[in-house]
Order: sequence, then structure tokens, then C-alpha cells
Amino acid sequence: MSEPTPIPSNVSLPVLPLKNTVLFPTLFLPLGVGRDNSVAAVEAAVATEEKIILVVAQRNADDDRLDADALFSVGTRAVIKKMNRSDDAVEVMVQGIERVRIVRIDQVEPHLRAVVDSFPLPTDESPEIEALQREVLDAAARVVELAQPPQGPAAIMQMLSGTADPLRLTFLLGSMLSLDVAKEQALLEAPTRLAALQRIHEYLTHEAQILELKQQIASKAQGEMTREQRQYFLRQQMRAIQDELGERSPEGAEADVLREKLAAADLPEAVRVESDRELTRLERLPSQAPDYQVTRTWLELIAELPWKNSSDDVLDIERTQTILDEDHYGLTDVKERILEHLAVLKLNPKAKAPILCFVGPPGVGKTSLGHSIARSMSRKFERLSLGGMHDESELRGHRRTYIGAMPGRIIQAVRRAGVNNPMILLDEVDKLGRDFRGDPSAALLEVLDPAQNSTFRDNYLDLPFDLSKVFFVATANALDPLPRPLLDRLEIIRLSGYSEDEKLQIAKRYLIPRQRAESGLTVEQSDIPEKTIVALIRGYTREAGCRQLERTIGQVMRKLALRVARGSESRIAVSEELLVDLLGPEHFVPEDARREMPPGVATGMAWTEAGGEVLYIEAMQVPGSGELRITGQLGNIMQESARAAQSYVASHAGQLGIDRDKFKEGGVHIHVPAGAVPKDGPSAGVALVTALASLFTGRPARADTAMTGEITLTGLVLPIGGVKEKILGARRAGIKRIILPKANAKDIRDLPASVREDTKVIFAEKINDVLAAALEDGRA
Amino acid sequence: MPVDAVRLVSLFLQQVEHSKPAWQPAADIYRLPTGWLVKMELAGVTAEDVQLNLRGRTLVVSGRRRDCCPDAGCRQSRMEIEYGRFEREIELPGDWQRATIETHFDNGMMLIRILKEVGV
Repeated sequence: MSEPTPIPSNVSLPVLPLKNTVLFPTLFLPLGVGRDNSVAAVEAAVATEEKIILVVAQRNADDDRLDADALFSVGTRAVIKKMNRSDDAVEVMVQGIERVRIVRIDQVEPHLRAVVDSFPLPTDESPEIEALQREVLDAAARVVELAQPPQGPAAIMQMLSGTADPLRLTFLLGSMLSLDVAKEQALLEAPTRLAALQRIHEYLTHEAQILELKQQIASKAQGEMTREQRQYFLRQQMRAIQDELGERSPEGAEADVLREKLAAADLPEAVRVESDRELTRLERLPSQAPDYQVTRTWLELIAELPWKNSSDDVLDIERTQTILDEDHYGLTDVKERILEHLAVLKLNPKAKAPILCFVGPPGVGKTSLGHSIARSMSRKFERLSLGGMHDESELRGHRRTYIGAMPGRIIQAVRRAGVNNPMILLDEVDKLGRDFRGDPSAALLEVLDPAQNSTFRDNYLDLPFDLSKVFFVATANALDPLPRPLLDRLEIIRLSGYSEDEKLQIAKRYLIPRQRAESGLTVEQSDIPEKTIVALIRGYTREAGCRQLERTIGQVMRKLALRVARGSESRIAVSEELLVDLLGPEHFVPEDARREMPPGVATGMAWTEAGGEVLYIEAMQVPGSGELRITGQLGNIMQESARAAQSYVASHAGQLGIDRDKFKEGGVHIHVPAGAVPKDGPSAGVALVTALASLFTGRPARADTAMTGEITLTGLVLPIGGVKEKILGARRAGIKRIILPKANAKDIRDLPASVREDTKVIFAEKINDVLAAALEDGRA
Repeated sequence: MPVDAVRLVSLFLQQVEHSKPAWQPAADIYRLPTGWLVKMELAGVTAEDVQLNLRGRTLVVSGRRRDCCPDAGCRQSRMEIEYGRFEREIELPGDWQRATIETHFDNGMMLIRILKEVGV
């Protein structure tokens, strides 16, 4: 180091306070000077010939208050080598000359001035210093190696090792490392060379450790970057480039659209977490990946499902009643049940929706009743036809692992409805198939259990969805095919067939106006009086419901339309005669009820899925052995019933006034037409007894009387089911006198009042009662 | 390495060239048949302020460039010229125990001739 010029005593120097750094003697330092005080100090220094300035570090960089306390007491006397003034700052290059100690500050404004005293750098020497200097060089070499400076470590190391002076080496390293002010100041103030070297050695070692750690982290992170991540980064870059070019890739755009959709959807928290995860996955998948489509459609489903969205129920009892009455004639029981439910919902909005099941023959309006319930409650209506469904996954969805997997029909219906409380009509629940692929009715068990369906888990969706607000209505033609556990969950509401009078009203109110509108006729052009409608019902239809009736009315309307279109007629009133012209002769003769009944024939009543029917039981004695021959495709129960009847008649022959010899004349043949239709059940018991009694007594059974009831060997008549259908069937056949078991008396209440008034019902407790009512007087 | 590494390191390499607080004037050196001619850029330096010293083979030129403010009340906005003490050591091969030194100022250039004494 060159010997600095001696300091003139008692001459104060302008002071340049430094933030964040320290100027070391002999070293250059470029500085940006911004503060007014500092600029003034630089100007004052530049104006002197020597350009000398005192550079001192501030204790606290944020401190703008500058006095003796704010500055370190040791600084560096420096010369300004270069200066350049730009608009808002002054750049200077200063070079440190020597270490000085501030004696006092003797000016604060416009810039600091201080009187300094020389504070020469230490000059101690020892072998220890030499050894430590080498050690410091080694440590510096390590730091330089790790830091990888752009000039290359070699150039720097060459310079460092060329620096013989231990303090200069310390200062060089001190300015190279990013040390804080206190540490740099400690180097400047070092009392001995040894102390300075010790301090810089400590800093270097610390720096080397940090750099090593940093490198370890960096290389570890690099090692962990797998091929997939690399692809991800490349793809992200590609996206950024495409964004810049305005060419968003289709999959990226899709993911964005989905993200927006999902953000807009009101999702429960659990669903949100899951969907976010899948969305991130989607963004990383190439669109060609098979998983891509699966994930995308799944996310679309999530976004569209009404997780929290529900429609408001309109719970206006009067209005509902009006709507139900508008849509359907009769069916008072069913309507009342619906109103009851509505009333409950009104009083307790949290009530679980019931699961109703309408059971009845085809065409009685089960499906359309579901429709009008939904309409009356202002619920969205979705219909699911279960007929022929035999795959469980069709109801509960396929797992997403399968390509082409779809959610089940239930979830699809809810999605279509767009609300989580629609009314879902499970049509034809009795027609569910069952095979090796699974049992869909088992899946229905979960769906239809109010205790379980609040967390219904579709295989595809794989998240619980709340179905408890859904109003389920099932329809079925018969309950027998339904498994017991399923039946147990349903609230059964029976819709039996319509009576003639009800049909007349239905035709008048709904069918004729509808068909008339359909064929484009006016009321004048197609006037169908009541009498004609009755004739139409009697002569051209035979059914429990109204489909055939509607078809036939449609047929009439089309024929009328043809006439009107030909221009031959403009006003047509359809008389009964015209009906024959239009439709041909009657298809069903009401006199289906046989007018003449030879002994051995009795009229029974059967219940079929299509409603009630009359059934003729024919018994005849055939020569030969005394065996009982039964034909007409009778099932086991009915055959046993026939044997019981025969035994009863044989054992009560005396009481019935039958000559015992009659039984020896041969066997009995019982036949029940029509022979092609299988029949079964116990309810033909009384008719069988009547037929046999009639055969053996020779007294014919009354042609205007039909009967039903199970018998016992002891002569009791037991109750049977389907009374309403049976009676309506009999009425259709023109029979107005009915014999029923006494225990079925309560069922009469189900009959429409008009039918009740017009029908004579005889209640029988014992077979004797039946025979008394059924057989003509023997004298005939 | 921190962001300002480049600045720091380039500053570093600069430190080697000028490790002394005195500035170094630029010089051209010519070989003469009997010695050396050293041309030094010393504009604004008066002859009185320059000292020459020949120690063995090393010529030491030192001195001081005094600054002057051209006009009163001016405000300096740039300083590139180096003022104050300067010192330049130049090694000149040869034996200069007995040599003559001639100096001459010409338009801001100082010409220093170091010539062997002939015939001794």
C-alpha cells in the first residue's frame, strides 16, 4: 500500500454516508448518490483540488437522520475519481485511500462535514497470519468454484492469489461477498491483520456452506424432474407461446371452459376438491390419451349436476286439486293420497319424499298421473323406463375405468332435470330384467330407500349425491314380479280399471276433444252424443284402461275427417247406426254374458293385468271311470280348487239334493275357456262348486249372476282380491248380479257410486248361500 | 451467486490495475539509438509539479494535476479527468547509472528522453 498523504489536522472533510455497504481502503466503489445532502457533499468535494471525501457507512440503512450517532465512527478517506450527473442522481466512482476515525461532526447542513483523525491499518506480522492467509485463499477458491462467476473462477483466483497484502485480500473478499454492513464494517475496523483474516475466513466458510447447500437443493430438484414433469413444463411453455400467438390449443381452451363452468357451479366442498384435482390432471393429459375424454366428460357432468340447485315446490292444496281434477277423472283415492303428502310437505318442509308406486292395468293413467303430480307441485318431471332393463350398471353407472363409461340413468335424469328435487317416474318397475350382469332391482333398493339415498353413489360419479329430495313414483302392472325388499320400500296405490260411466266421462272430457283436435275437426263436424259413446265403449272396446277407447275414437274421427275432406258433409252427428257404418259391426258383443246356461255352467270372475273378466266354468259328466278331468290350462291352485269343489259336492250330495247314483254314471270333466289362456288362483272356488252342483242337480246357474270366492272343504267362503276389477269386468260383460264373499264387503266402497247403485251384490258366508243365490229353481 | 455478481466481479478485476490511490497517466514509449523516449499524457500539469526519479531501471514519474474551476459560480456535472497525485512507474531495460534526462512539454504531452552518456 502506498503511503497516504498526511491528514491536515483540524480541516474538516465533506461526508458521504453509505447505505448497505462499506468502502475499503485502496478499493474502487461506484456509487449512486441521490440524497440532497450527499449530492451537496460530493459537489463540495469535487470543487476542491484534492477531491477528497469521507465515506462512512450508516448504522441503519433506513435512517435519514444523519448525525454522529447514525454513522459508524470509523470510515474511509476517499478520492472521487469520476463523477457524472444525470437528471435525478449523481454517479461517482470513489477510491478508498485510508482508514480514519471521525473526531467530530462540525457541520450538518447543507451537507455533513467531519473532522477526522488518522487510524492507520494494522501492520502486525506473524507466521500465523501467513498460514491463515493461505487458508483464506483456499476457502475463497471454494466459494468462487461454487459461485461460478461469469468471468470464470480462474481469473478471479489469479487476482486473489496475486494479492500479497493480507488486509487488501480481506477487503477484496469482503467487497466480493454479499455481506451485511455490520460485517463489512467489522473488517474495516479490524484491530489486527490476524483478526481481519479470521473474520473473513469465518464469512467465507459460511458462504461456502450456503452455496453448497444451494447447489445440493438445485441438483436434487433437477434429479427429481422426471420425464413427465419435463413434458409438463414443455407443454406449459407451448401454451404460453400459443397464448402469445393467439392460438390456444383446443384442449387448453376446453380445460379453461371447464374451469369457468366449475367455478360458476355451486359445488359442495368435497366435490370441489375432487374436481379441482381432476381438472389439474386433465390439463396435464394430452388430448389423445384415452383418459382425456373420460376425465373431460366426468368434469362436464360435475359442472352440470344440480348439487345445490332445487326448484321451489308450489304447495297450494287448492291449485293441486284443480290440476289433478283437470287431468284425470275419478281416481279420488290417489288424488287424496297426493294431497295428503303435499299437506305434510307444507307443514314440514324437511319431510322425506314418499316413494309411491301406482299399480294397475295398462291405460288407466299411471304415467300421466305422475305427470300431473309433477305439474301440480311445479316439480321438474323425468321419466325413466325400466322395462327390459337388465343391467345394474345402467342404473348405477359404469366405473370410470371403462372407456365409454357413463353415469347411470338416475344421475342422468337428475342432470337433465337440472334440479336436485325433480319428480322421477320409474316406469314399468315390474318389467325389470335380471340376468348374469346383475340385478337392477337391487340397485333400486338403494335409490328408493330414504335412509340411504341421501348419499347415493353412482359408480361413474364416484361421489355421493343427495337423492333424498327427489320425489320417486314407480308404476307397475302387477306387484308379483317385484322382489319383496323392493316392494317393502314402496307405498302402493292401486289404480283399478274404470267403470263404464267413468270411461264415458273420460271420453267426453279428454279423449274426444283430443282426437278431434288431432284430426282437425270442429265440434259441429264431429258430434258424438253420449249414447254413441256408450255404444262405442260397449261394442268396440274391452279393457280396463282407455287406450283402446282412445284409438277407436281416433278411428272414428279419421273416418269423419275423410268425409268432411271429400266435401260430402259438413255437420255430422255420429249416431249408433253411423258407428256401425264407420267401424263395421261391433267387435265385442255385450251379450258375451251367455244368455242361456245349461246345467253345469257357472259364471266366475277373474282378475287379469288388463282388468277383470268373466270366466265360464263348464262341467260335464262323461261316461267311464269316476276320474276328474280338468282342462283349460289351469294352474295347480285352481286344479286343487276344482278337486276341493268336487269333494264338497260329493260329500254334501244329500244336503244338495243330489241322487248319489249320479256320481256312479261316470267321471266329471271340467273345462275353463278360453283354452289358450293360462289361469290360476283360488278365487274360482265358488264358481266351480256352483258348476258341479248345477251339473248334478240339473238346476242351471243364473246367467245374470257372476261369482267369486275361495272355498274350504267345510263349506266356508273365504275373501279374495281384486274385487273392484272383477266387478267392473263383470259389468262390462253385462252382468249386474254379483256374489261375493262376506269378508269382501268392505271392498264395495271402492266402486264408483254409479256402479254401486246399479249392481246387486250378494254376500255369501257359506257355500250354501252361494248356491241359493246362484242356481235357478230346480223345478224349471 | 447474487444478482450483482457481475458488477462486483468486474469491479474486482478493475481493482488490480489501479490498486493505488494515485492515478496513472497514459504513456507511449519509443526506443532511441542511445536510450528511451517516454511520451506522457499530462495535460494541465505544470512542469513544476512533476518529479522524475530514476531508481535503477525504473523510471518513476509522479506529481500532481491541480484542478481549477474555469468560471466562478459554475456547477460541475461530470468529472472524468483525474486530478490530484499521479504516479507512473516505467521499467526501462538498460543500465542507467549514468544517464541524462531531458524533459520537454509540448501541447499537454510531456516528453522524457533518457539517454546514455556517450563516451564514458
